[in-house]
Amino acid sequence: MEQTLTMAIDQSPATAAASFEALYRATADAVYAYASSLLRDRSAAEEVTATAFERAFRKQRSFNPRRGTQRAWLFGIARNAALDELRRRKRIAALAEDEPADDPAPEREAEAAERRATVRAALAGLDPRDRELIALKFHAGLNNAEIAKVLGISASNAGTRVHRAVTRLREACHAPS
Amino acid sequence: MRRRETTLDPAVAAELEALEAALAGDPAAEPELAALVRDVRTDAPAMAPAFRARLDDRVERGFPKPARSRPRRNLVPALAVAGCVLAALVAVALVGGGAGNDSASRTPAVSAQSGPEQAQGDAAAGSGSSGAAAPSLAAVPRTRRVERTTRLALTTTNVQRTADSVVSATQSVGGFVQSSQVTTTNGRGSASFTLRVPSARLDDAVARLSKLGHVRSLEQSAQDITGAYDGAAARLAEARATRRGLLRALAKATTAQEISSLRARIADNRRELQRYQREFESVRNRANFATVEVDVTSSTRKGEPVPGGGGSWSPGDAARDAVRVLEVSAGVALVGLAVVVPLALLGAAGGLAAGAWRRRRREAALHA
Repeated sequence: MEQTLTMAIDQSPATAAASFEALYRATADAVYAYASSLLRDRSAAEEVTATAFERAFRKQRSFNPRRGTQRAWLFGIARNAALDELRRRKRIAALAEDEPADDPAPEREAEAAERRATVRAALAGLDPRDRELIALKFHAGLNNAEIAKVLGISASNAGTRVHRAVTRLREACHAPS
Repeated sequence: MRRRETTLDPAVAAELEALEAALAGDPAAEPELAALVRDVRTDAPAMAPAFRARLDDRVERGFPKPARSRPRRNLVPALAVAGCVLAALVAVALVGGGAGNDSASRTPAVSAQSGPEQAQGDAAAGSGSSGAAAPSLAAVPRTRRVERTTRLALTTTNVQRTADSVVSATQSVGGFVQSSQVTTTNGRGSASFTLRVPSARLDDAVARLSKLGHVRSLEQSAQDITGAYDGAAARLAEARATRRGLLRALAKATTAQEISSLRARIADNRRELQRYQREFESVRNRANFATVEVDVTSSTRKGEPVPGGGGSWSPGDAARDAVRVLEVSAGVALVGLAVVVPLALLGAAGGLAAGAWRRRRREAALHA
């Protein structure tokens, strides 16, 4: 899941464009999934995803490899865009209803479908901060150090929070409906 | 900013390792965690194809910006230029004010306290010269007679050479050295001169003398002696008329007693005439020749100009000028920093506060 992408600060425009496109191809789905998990709104997630990549494109030269990975840098930008959007809208729309329609399940077994519905409901019931951590860990595939960079906290704190969020998700999945 | 790192609880670390194994698809991962990972990922929101196509297109075109009706100007360069100009103006004002005394003394204006009004007065006199307009003898009416006195104090690194130059400069304007006293040892010491120069060339003489060293002070005074001049001239004319009358009477005298009496009176008249002649010439000299008193002392600073060079620009002068330029440049830079640094600190503090406030508002959105 995790990919190593490099983008030199002083590369040529053509090289920079190619590097950015590679980053986009590798992370677009994850950024969208993260934004959707945070915002719970399809149109808002699309807007935030587009905004995040545009900001990243404009700020390519500000990326410093010594301060973290490119994925952490990108998800930091996406997080700021998502939080700005959250603040602007002052609401969190429900996404759970229309999401499965765009995601045809590969298997039709009733047991698997029921399990995913349980997980979806558990995620929806999580605190937004826990849901963000689940998205960064499961969808974006960031390690704890990268999550720490995105959230502006220490790596150990990020690990603790991830552990807590996963525990809560597992408890929510096991909780009687 | 370095964040405080704490060690993870061993149990938490172990569970995180198990989670990482499940996320990595490790077959040995905990089955329940692996299933959770699989379900969460399977249920991950996916981009709509239409949005994906639009975003792909924008990425390929490099996120073209919509055309602006008016281009936004970057004010930073303009503000920087304005700040530099302001700093330069302040620096020039400060440097100019600080060096004012020095430059005034180095380039003295040939000036005097007295003006035309004083010159036309009966007892106008004064001392000091700084900032006063130079009176021109041409401005004094021809009917008025003015006695001028100038005191000039010079410092130099070589008194002997400057003393020689004082004599040369005096002679070059048609004047002469009335008295002088020079005491030198290895070029250092002091010298004083009393010079007499034609009043008509006083300004020229002072200008030439001022170039011979660093002018420490310059005082000029003027005294109207028209009354004394006219009185002496009248007494001389009267004595001459008396002499002519006595000579005519002597030519007409017939008796010995009369002739003897007239000769005695003519002898008295001759002495009187000589006295009045000396008196008149003295007053006329006071009007026609100005007195210039020059004091020359050794300079205590190495930076004083070398006299006797006739104002030529030597390598030493160039070095001093270069140092001066560097001093002024450093002053300008210092003033500029005094302006820019507080502004930069304020801007940085404001930026940090704004960033913290923005982060706090963003985080607050998650609590909603």
